Amino acid sequence: MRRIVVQAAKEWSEFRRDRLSLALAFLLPLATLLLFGSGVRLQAKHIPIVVRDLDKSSISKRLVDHLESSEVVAKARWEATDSSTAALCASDARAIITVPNGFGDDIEFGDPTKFSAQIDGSDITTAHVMKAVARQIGISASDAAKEGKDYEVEPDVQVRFNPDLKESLFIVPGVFGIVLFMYPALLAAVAAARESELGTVVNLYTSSLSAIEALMGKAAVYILVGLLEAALTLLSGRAIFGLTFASEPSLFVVATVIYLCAAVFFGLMVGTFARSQTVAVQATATGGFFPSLLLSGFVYPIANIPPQLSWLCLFVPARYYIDACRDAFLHGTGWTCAWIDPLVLAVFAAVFFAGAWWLMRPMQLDDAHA
Amino acid sequence: MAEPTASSVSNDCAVAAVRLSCLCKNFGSLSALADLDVQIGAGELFGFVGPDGAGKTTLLRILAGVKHSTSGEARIFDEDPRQARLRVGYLTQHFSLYSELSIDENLKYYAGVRNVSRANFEQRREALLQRVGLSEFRNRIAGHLSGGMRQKLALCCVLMSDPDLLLLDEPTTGLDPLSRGEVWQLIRELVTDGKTVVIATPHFDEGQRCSRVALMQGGRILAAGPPSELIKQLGSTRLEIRCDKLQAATRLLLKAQERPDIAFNEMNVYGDRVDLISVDPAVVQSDVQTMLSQAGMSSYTVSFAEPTLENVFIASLRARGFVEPECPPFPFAGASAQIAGEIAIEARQLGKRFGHFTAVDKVSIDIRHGEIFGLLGANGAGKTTTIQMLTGLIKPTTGEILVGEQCGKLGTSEFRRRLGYMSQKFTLYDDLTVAENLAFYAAAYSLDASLRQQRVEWVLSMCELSKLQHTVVGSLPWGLKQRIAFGASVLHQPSLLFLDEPTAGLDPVARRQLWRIIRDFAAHGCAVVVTTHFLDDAEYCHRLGLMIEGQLAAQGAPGEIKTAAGHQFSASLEEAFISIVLQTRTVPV
Repeated sequence: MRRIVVQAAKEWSEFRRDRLSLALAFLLPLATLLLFGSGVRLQAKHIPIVVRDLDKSSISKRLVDHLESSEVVAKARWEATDSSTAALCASDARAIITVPNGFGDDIEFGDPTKFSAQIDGSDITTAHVMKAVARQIGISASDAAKEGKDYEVEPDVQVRFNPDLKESLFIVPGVFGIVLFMYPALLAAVAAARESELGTVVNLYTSSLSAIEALMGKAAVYILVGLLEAALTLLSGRAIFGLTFASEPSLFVVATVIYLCAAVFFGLMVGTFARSQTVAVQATATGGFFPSLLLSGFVYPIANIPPQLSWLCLFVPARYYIDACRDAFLHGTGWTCAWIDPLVLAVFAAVFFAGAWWLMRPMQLDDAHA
Repeated sequence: MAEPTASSVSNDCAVAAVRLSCLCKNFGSLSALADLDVQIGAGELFGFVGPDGAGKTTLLRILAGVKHSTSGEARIFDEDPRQARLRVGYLTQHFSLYSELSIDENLKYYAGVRNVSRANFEQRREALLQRVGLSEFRNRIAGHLSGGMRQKLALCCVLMSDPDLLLLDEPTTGLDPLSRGEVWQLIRELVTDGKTVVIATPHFDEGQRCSRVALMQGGRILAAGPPSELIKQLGSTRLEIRCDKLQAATRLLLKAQERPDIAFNEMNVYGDRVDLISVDPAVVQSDVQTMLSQAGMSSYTVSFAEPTLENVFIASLRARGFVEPECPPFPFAGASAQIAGEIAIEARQLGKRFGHFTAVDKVSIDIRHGEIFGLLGANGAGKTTTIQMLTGLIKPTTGEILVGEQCGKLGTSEFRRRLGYMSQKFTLYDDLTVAENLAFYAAAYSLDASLRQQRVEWVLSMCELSKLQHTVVGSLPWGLKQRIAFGASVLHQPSLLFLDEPTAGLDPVARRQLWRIIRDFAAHGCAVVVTTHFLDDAEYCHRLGLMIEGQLAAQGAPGEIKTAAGHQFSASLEEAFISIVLQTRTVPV
């Protein structure tokens, strides 16, 4: 018994003095709790939609008011000139409800009528919720009819981009975003940290290489490996999950190359900073994987994340790449709507490269190497 | 005694290869290098000699241009080290090779990043590989090379850019005696070729091979100059005393040391001899002879020898007012020297295979109570595996281990209570204070309260640490950690003590102190097994076993090994081992 206490006392003293363990033990659970607790919701709220009331009767107005006062949806920005496809791609509207002219009159006279609900099928969860919402509108409208026994207003539901609401079409492009960031970044981080850990980094410092040349040389290899990984995932996605391009893939190709650069530069930056492979792996996993998983719109819609946290999403490269992927495989609008994604990714790549260069730039062992 | 004080070193030369003026380097509040003034001429073979923590590696890093100094100046061929880096070849302490790359690929990489033209590359590669005998292995992966081959390849890589100045950080550490000799042969050839070589080493015998040395301790230069001159300045002679009743003779000499009429100022006890340093050797010789004869001893020899750089080092420390610390004796409890001579542990035809690799093959040794047994060999020769089998940490593949009566049965908790084990690293917990570490070990060995306090206090006073006992171990210098780790491993007064490289990183004074304590344990009946690749340490052992490629190539007292290899008593163990290695070698090292 005493020896158990001794072992425990020793463990406790060690643990207390190890800042990294302390942070892992208390800060990470808290951060995870906050993130999941306030950010991540499976249940949809405030889904941005566009409601087009072409009828403007008292019944349609009542329906629209009722809809807009609900927690589930929120009003999305929409220009009257936009086509419906553009509305679903460019603005973040997940659905467009159109109430046709004469809708109110039809109901009042008990004539059969319809309203249309165009739903973006690229996000499965939201699409299911919107289907339910459309049915609910139909029921409310039926209740408004004067003699309403067998009277039903059917929504004309049209699911766009993923008409069968196949889950694989939703998940797989998102997986690209995770896979093509994590693995190239890990390889690069370990490669950079290994040189510090083994001391071979002195070879670089005593050579005629500049910091930029050293980084570029390392990056080139892992970007190439990343491209092979991309080709592999793409072909498997096609063979196994039947993933096909919705339009010509030039934007996807450009975005992928830039995304891989960003991932590898991120890895090099972390690896140069970490100096040990273990730390490099931990840092890349925590700093790269969690945000990509939780804050990229991969599974949990970004719209669900409350505004206090949603600014964090702006700094997650995966968010932009997943957006580009979904455009390539589902929306198919190409450069017209998704042009911004490669641009933002290029900014990320530049910032990560600058960071790695800044850390490497002195080409000196720092005093922690004593 | 002449005082070797030349702390500023200069050599009149047209262009200095290295010039340091008032060079300082601080790490936080710690001063790693303090006011170094050194000038090294082109074509010199210069050695910075000193224990770990003396500042050698930091100095070489500054010279290589990979670390900034805090103040002062370092110039290489009158340029900033960072500017001059392509004229410098820097061999780091741990082989900086890429172990996944082949010999050829490593050379190609080094040449490529140091602006070597293709024609020069081809030509130098052939010449260098030929010179070190690696031509036939050029496609072999560096990670699969032996330690000696790796170090030779690392030297080739450094030489690829044909540097004018070579900075070599402990180029022979961890090598077997033969590879060590080959590396030194290569270094001498390079100097003949006109290159300037600066070498950092903890081995005083290697310092003796340099044209000039600077003896370093704590970031300062204690003495500098050509080794022969430093030794001459000492004005003393070393007396080697060999005797069949060495323990009794040692006791007599210790008593004599306190008498004012016998004039020797340094005494050091080795495994089968005692060294005295004296300015008046003839008188001391006759005094000692008289004393030993009066005590009824007849078979002894007292011979003269030259002092070593280690003697110079210690004399320089003394000249700076350094007083050797009083080390209180270990508070032994219920120990008996009577069991001395009984077998403590015996290995018969011990073997260990890891997959297809035979780490240890047919090793038979017996270790007796009261004896210090030294297990010697290069890195990878199988020393640590042998120790791990003897301590019951891993199971042997073949052979058996017999444990003497005193120690219970291998692997039982009784055995573990009688066992002390100091492994090469990780014995202490970096995040705990000194006192917490010692308390943990004391409690883990279930020492009762009175013994615990007494022994922890002994460790603290042995390490002169009473004031620092609440310091976190991680922040202490390596040498001190090593001594605390030793203290922790003997808290429970083991009957069988295994020490894996116990003196690595210790300065000569601390090393001698540690050996005194180890001898004290042996005198109280403890059986001690020490592994080391440090040949200086081997002389302190009563018996030695030399391991080569998993096999025991030779066994015996230091003097026996020298004579068995066909050398004189006065020869160095290194020479003896090289002869033995050459006789037993099966594959190229």
